[in-house]
This record gives sequence, C-alpha cells and structure tokens, in this order.
Amino acid sequence: MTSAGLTVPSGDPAALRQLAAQLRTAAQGSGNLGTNTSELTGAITSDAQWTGSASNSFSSFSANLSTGTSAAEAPLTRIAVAVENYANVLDVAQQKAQTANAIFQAAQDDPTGSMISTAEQYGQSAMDALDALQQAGDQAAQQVGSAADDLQVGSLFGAHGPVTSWAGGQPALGTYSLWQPGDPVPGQTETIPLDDGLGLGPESIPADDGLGPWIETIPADDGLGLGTETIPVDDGLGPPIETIPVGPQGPLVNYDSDLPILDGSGKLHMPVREDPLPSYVPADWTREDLEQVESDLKDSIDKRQEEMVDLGEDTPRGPAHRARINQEIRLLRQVQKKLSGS
Amino acid sequence: MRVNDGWMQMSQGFSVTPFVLQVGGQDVASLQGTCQAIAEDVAGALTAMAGSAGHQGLSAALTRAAGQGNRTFTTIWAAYGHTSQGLAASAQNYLDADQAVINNLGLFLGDRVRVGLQP
Repeated sequence: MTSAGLTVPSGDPAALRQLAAQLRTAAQGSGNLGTNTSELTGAITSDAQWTGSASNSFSSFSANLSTGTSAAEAPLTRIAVAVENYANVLDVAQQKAQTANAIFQAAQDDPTGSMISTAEQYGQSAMDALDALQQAGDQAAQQVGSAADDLQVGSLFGAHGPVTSWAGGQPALGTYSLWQPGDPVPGQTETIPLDDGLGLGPESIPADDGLGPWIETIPADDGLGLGTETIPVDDGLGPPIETIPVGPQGPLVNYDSDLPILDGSGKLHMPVREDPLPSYVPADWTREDLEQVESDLKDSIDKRQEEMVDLGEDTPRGPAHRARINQEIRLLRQVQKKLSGS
Repeated sequence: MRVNDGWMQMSQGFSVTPFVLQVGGQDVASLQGTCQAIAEDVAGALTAMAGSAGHQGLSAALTRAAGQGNRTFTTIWAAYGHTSQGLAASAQNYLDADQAVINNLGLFLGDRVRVGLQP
C-alpha cells in the first residue's frame, strides 16, 4: 500500500493479538491437561490398589505424559508473547507510515511550503518505526523458532522418556521428526498403495480409461498421431513383420476385349459376362487368338463337365449347364477347324 | 483371593481392582478428547498467525511452529489413547485371570465332593 512515499507495512495486528490470546488459552489448556492427567492417573492407581510391575509401568508412562503435556504450555506461551509484541510494533509502524504519508500529501498541496519541515519529521519517525518493525519481526521469528524447537516431543518428554520411546516404536507414528502436517493421525485408517515396481521418481498417472482395473497391454506408438483407428483382427501370426505368401497360380486370363476369357474358376466367358459365345469364329481372330481360345475352351469344357457331374443332369440348373457345354464344344470345333485351315 | 469390593490379591504377588481400571480408562479417554481440542486450537492459531504476520521470516517461523505443534500434539493425543486402551486391556486381563481361577477352584471342589470328602 503506497501513498505519498512510504509503504505501509502489511499484516493485521488486531488479528495477531486475537490469535495470540487464543494460543495463550490453548497453552493454559495444555498445562491444565497435564495437571489433570497427573491427578487422574494417580487416583486410578490408588483407588484400584494396583501394585506390581504393570502398575509401575503405568505410573511411569502416565507421569511422563502428564509432565510433558504440561511442559507444552511454556513454549506455546512464548510464541504468543512474541507475536503480541510484534503486533504492537506493527500497529505503531502502520499508523506512523499512514500519518507520514498523509502529512506528506498535505505538504505537497500547501503552496506556502510551511508543512515541509513537519512532513520531514513525520517521515523520519515513520522510517524509524519501519526499521524497528523489521527488527521486531526478525526477533519474533527467532523466538518462535526457539519455542518450536522446545515443542518437540523429545524436548517435552525427554529424549529417552517413556512417551518418546513408545512413540518411536509405533508404526503409525513413525519417527516423529519426519511426521509432517497432513499425515494420518494415529487411529485413522490409512490406505498404503501397492508398490508399482517402477522405483522412486515422478510418475504420470493416466486418466481413467473406463475399462476398470485390469492388466492392459498398451501398444507402442504407431507414429500416426491421435485419431480413431480400425485395429485389424489378430491373424495369429504374431508381430510385427509378415511375409504375405504368394497365392496359387491361377489360370491364365486373356484380357483382349474381343476374345472370350477364363474367369477365376477356370470357365470361359465373353469379356462382358452376359454376352453369348460367338456362334462362329470372328474373322479378326488371329492364329494366336485361335490357339488361345482353343486352349481356354478345352479347360473350360473340362471344368464344366466336372461341375455337371456334381450338379446332376436332372437338377433345375442341369439343362442350362449342359447347353452351355454344348455351345463351348461347338465353338471349339469351329476354332479347331479354322486352325486346320479347312 | 477376592474381597467384596472387587479387589484381587493375585497369585503372582500383586493386587488390583479391575473395575477401577475400567472406569479410569474411560476417564483417560475423556482427557484424550480435551487434548484433541487443544491441538486443533494450537495448530489453527499458529497457521492463522503465519498468514497475518506480514513479515516473511516470522511467517515462516510460525508455519514451522504450526507443523511442530501438530506433530507433538498428535503424539500426545496418541499417547492418551495408548493409556486409555492399556487400562481397559489390563482390567480385562485381570478379570479373565480371576475367572480362570474360579473355574479351576470349582472343578477342584467338585472332585472332593464326588469322592466323599468335605469341600
């Protein structure tokens, strides 16, 4: 907060005083708790007429507990006092800085210049207060740090006291010096994650894929970037390089558009499958064409004869299949006659 | 050996009244609740102070003190729980041991009656 020249120090002195009062009350509560503990545990042992080694252990532990709990009152109170003192210095520094800024502003607005000397005096006083505030803050920080050290379990209950020794042996408490704020309080249920076997180090946890908990095999990046991919069904050949076998050699096919050609099943058809076979040998068929058609006709007739056996003459398709064979036989004879030159 | 107020003289040479230990365990549990309230006040006050100080070094020291207070009072809180549970468990152990002695004594007297002797 800057006005005419000085920065008004931040902080809330009223809140600090209120919090210090709250801490004082808590500190007194700790002292009273220790006293009450001592009285209660002594009464338990006495009223129960409890003797023996177990009674001795209980008395030792509870006496240490009550003493240490009471001892927490002192460092907590020291923190409260340090903060109260700092709050008072902070309050003064804020007021002086605000006043100096106001007078400085008024001096600037005064055309006579009569307030300049006063503004300088207030400014100097405020500067001194700010210096004192910095020193008070440093001193309070040191006092709070020292009190925090005295607030340690080992300091309150003794490095080898029954409570310190017990706490050090509790798995839920662990080593108290490593116990951080936010860690589970003893008695609470804590879920310890399973070791993921990845060792120590930062991990990136992926978002839930909605597939539920299960072992997944994540494919390697295919370098194609993000997007929807159609993954082919596993062909059982294993990853990754496959040799595609050469298919069986099929019948040779004549792709001349004027000639009948064998289809994939080895039967002859015209280039337009629905066209009928020629009833005579076209004049433009060369000798090579005739030889090719002769060979193809023989193969096709053989193929159709085989199918005729399987199909049967008396089936609905039988007569049409027989007629087709006869057409091809007739054309074959004409081709052979042409080749013979007759 | 038992007397009418529940006091026991155990064979190992020590004595105890288990019911007093049971009630005492409950009383210590009540103190544990008081400890928790104090712990919350301490941690809350120190943390709020750190936010209101306006001085970097002091804020850091108060934050550290808040953490230390939290650790210490959590340990104290747990120690009260340990004490309370220990008293309850001890009382139950003594009662169980006493019941076992009674059972054994009953068997012994029953045997004497069966063979015609005075119990």
